[in-house]
Parts: sequence; structure tokens; C-alpha cells
Amino acid sequence: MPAFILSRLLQLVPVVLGMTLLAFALARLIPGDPVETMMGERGIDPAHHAAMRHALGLDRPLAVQYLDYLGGVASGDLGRSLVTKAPVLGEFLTVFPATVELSVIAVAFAIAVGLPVGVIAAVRRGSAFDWLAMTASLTGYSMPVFWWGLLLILLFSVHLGWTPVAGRIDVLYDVPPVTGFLLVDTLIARDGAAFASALHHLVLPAIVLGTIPLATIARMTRSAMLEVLQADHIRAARAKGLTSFRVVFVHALRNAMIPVVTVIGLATGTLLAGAILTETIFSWPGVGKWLVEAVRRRDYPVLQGGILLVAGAVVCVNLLVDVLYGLLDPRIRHAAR
Amino acid sequence: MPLLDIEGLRVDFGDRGRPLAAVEEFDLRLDVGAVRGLVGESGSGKSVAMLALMGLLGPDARIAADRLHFGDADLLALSRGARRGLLGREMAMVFQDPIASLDPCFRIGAQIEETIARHERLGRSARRERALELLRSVGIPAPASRLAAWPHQLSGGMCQRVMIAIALACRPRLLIADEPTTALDVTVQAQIMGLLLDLQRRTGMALLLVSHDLPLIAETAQRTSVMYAGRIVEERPTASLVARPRHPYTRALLDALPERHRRGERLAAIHGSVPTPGARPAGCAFHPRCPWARPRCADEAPALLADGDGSVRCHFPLDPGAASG
Repeated sequence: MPAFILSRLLQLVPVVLGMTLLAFALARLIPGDPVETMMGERGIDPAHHAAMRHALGLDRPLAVQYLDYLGGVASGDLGRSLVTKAPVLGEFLTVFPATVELSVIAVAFAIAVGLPVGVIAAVRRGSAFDWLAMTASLTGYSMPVFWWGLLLILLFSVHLGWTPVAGRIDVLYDVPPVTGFLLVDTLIARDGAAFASALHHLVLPAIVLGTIPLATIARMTRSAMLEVLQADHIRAARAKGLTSFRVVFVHALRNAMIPVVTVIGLATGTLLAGAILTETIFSWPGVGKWLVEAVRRRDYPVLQGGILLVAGAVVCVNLLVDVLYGLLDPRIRHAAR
Repeated sequence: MPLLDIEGLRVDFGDRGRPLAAVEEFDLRLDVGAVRGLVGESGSGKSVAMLALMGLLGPDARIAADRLHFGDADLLALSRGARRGLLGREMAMVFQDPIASLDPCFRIGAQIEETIARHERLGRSARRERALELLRSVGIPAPASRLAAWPHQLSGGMCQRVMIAIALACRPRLLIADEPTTALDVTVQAQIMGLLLDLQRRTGMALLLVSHDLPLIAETAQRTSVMYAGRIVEERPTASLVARPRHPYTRALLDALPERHRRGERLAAIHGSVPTPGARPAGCAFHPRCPWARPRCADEAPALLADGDGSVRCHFPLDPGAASG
């Protein structure tokens, strides 16, 4: 297993290199430059403009700027924001936990509902439950996130008043940040009311964010289960006299997990990359909102660093998925040796 | 009392309005500790009949029978749970493709112990001990280390030995072996057959050997049933079935064997193929392929009638004297 993980880590070197180039290029492909956006609509005289570009190092050749950035990345320095002058890494570390917390809860919700629904739909293929579940999941998958989010806010927050409209926690609570995850920090501070408030704020965005992964997981689980249930070893397991529950949830589900874990990994990666729409709708102070802001201000260091860090997080999730493949299927584990 | 007593077993698929009978008028009696062969081409319904007996067919199969008794249990009257309780404990089955029949995600030992845990109250170490003993009895070398092996690390022959070990884990009274050697190399086939017969003799279980391979069955089974298009067409002691076949289909199966031909002589294939359930001809299902067919064969379906030391389903059974050709 360690050799397996090591081989996957080595494969990451060219991936990370490619990501730095992409992050650098993407930031600079946006029309306009940071100086213009800083000066606003009144504009700036050309001499002053050139001087500021020089001060920010933007007048150097692109190759030099890239190598400078690469050198910084290699030494762990992602630079400072052009706007706030704060280190990019520090800013990222304050917004990332909010996104992780939201994504983890959203994916957990999607798995908790999607997996059993997919299994039952496969076992009861062609039943009313199957039809209903697949229609609902197709609807959920097709629903635009901003529309779905607003709809839920209107119903549960505005109409019924069950959940708050925006933010991570009520302003009256002051929780000392330890991990950055409010659910954890409130528990560390032994503040039950604050924990309840954080959870309360999390429910609706997590459901909105988890809807598409839920639909994907349910459909993928169903189709993978349908295939596995036809397998010879499932018939052999039944011939042992095992209960249906054991045949379905131990033997069939275990074999159906590889494609399901793949879509769970992909979904988690996408969510970490910033659930931009959901974070915007719910004013959730996460990576998505932070990056959108940086795009607006042409904050090159934040964009370069932020894209790289988010991509790194996605890569880590994929690595985790690869390791999970090996744990789930001994054939993959042994083939990697 | 016979261990297995089946009369008029019928398995239908498809719409209720237009049922397709995969198996009909299927009779089989099997004594305690007997070895019985069941032969027929692919598509003749032998596997479906066996799966119906085990209760392993899907919900789209409709099973009916005049009599379906196992020991003193009426299988049709038992609840689903009670029938499942018999599987793996009283009646076990070994399948055609041993590699695909083992769950790739579980170790060999776990898959054997699972059956024991399902049916017997036995501690972990006792189960492990039994699994080890079983692997040893099916002739797997270095059994202790094989308990921790994964299915993909074993050859087809080894996997079939493991499947046999799983089937025998709770010392069943009946073992159904459905084409147990078809997917294996020729050299391994004889070993697996030898093992099955050896285990049958040692444990005294009854063995129902299903195959398309008549010579394989001829060497092992006391009595043999021949199936064609969902029905039993001939049944008698294997020795006389092979020496003096009465049904033209049995005769054709024997004539198609390469070892019955002299060098350079053309092999006698049976023309055509087994008709599918929806496309069975009127009268005797074999008549379009039968060289001895007469007009009556196309009009009237023959019944399975007692005939000498067995029974045959034919209007004009072959003359035993002429059979050796």
C-alpha cells in the first residue's frame, strides 16, 4: 500500500507543474489589469499607470513573471494580494474551512440519501419506488442551482421561517477560531447555542449544494448495482443461503462501490473548487466567493495562488479516491505493485 | 423415501398471457447418496430446472410442480426464509464459471467461513479450523496460506476447488454440480471430477451432475436423464443408456462423439439447434432434427412412458439391437 500511494504521488509532479502554468495564464487572460480596476472609473494618466505597473512588477516579460511565481511556489510563498496586501496563503486558509465544512456536510448528505435510494431502486427495479427515485433524481440533477437555492430560501427561510437566510452563524456568537470549522470550534468552545446556530445556518446551503451530487450518486449506485446483481458470484452467494440483506448490502454493494466512489470523488472535488453559486446565494464566506472577488479586482496573486491551492485540494481528493479503489478492490491494489 | 422427488416441474418465463416454458413435465427422483447425471445441449433447460430446484431463479420465473420434495420437506410449501435456510446447509450448488462465482472483494477464507457462520453456531476459531480442513479435503496445496488469498490470485481449477469447499462447508445431503468442469482446462477437468466423486463417496451425499458432456457423465453416474427442449426424453441406468439408447436424441448425442468414429470418417453432427421456448414445434420437439421421424411425430406429442429399465419419450423408440450400429 505505501508503494501504491508513493507511485500515485510521483505522478502528481507533472500535474502540479501544469497547474501552475494554467493558473498563471488564466489569471492573465482576463482583460484589463489590476491597476485599472484599482483606479476605478475615473481612470489614470499613462505615466502614473506605467509607474504602478512597474511597482507591481507587471511590466516584466511574462516568462520572467511566471518563473518568479514558480520560484515562489517552490519555496512555499504564494505572494500577497494586490488589494489587501495580506499573504495569499493566509487568506486562503481563512476562507477554505468554510468551503470544506459546507462541502463535507453536503457530500455526506448526498451519500446518506443517494446510496440507499440507488440500492433500493436497483433491487426493486421497475417498481414505483424506482420510477419515483429516478424521476426525482433527474429533476434534481437538471435544476439550476441558483433557482433551486432561491426556491428553498423562499420556502424555508422567508415563508416558514425555519432557517436563516445567509451567513455561517448568528452575529451574536463570538467563537474563537481553532480549526476554522464552526461546527468543531463551537464544540471546542463548549457553546451549545452557537453550535446549534452554525448547524442551523448550514442545513439549507448543504442541501442545495448536495442536490446534484445526490442525484448523481443515486443514479450511479443504481446502474452499478444492476450490473453487479447479475454477476455469477451474487448467485453463488444466494446459493450459500445468505439473507437478501447480506447479499445486497455486503456482496453486491461492495462490488458496486468503485464507480460510486468515483462520482463521490468527482463531486467532492467540484464542490471544493468553490461552490460559487451556492456561496453567493447564501453569502457563505468560502473559496468560491473569495475567488470571484479576486477575478473582479484582477488580483493576480490571489487568482494564481487560489487556483493552484484549490487544484491541489482537488488532486488530494483524487488521490484519496485512488487509495480507496485499492482498499475496495484487491485486484487494483495488486495490479499497482 | 427418495432424497429428491420432483414430478411435473414447470418453469415459465414471459407474459402470463403468452408464457414461455423453459422446463415442463420434468420428473426426477434421486435416492440418498446416489449419483445422477443430467445431460442435454445448451438451451435444453437443465440449468433452469436446477436453479428452480434451488429457488435461485429471479422473480420473472414462475415455478409450478405436482410434487417438489426434498427429504420430508415440501419445497413449494416452505416459506422463502425456510427455503433459504436449506441452501448451503442441506442442498448446495457448484457453478460453471468458478472464477466469476467467487466474490472478488473477499478473501477465500472469509467466503468459506461465511457459509458456516450462516448455518451453524460456531466460534471464529472453530470456523477457521473448519475452513482449513475443507481446503485440505478439496486438495488445495498449502491450505493455511490460501485462506488469506484473494480469488484473482488462484487459477480456475483452484477456484472450483474452493467453490466445492464452500458447497461442502455444512455437509449437505445434496450437491448439484452444474457443468462443474466446462470452464476448465482438460487436464484439470479430470481432477475436479475425481475430487467430486471421491468427496461424494466419503460424505455419502447425493450428487446431481449436470453436463452437456455425455462421456463425462457415463463414467460417473448410476442413472442418467437426458433433456431436450425443456423435457426429459429418456431416463435409465447410465450403462444401458450408453449401450442401448432408445430415444433418437440420445443416440444422436452418442453418435456425435468423436471417439465413436474411425479416423478419417466424417463426424456425425446433429443438424440444427435446440428450439427456443417460444419456437418449439408441434408434436415431438425433436422431430425436425430426427432422422427417424414419421408423420405422427409432427402431430402428437409423445409422453414419457416406462420402457425396460427406464423410461423414454418417443412414439417409435429405437430397436436396442441396432443401436451399436
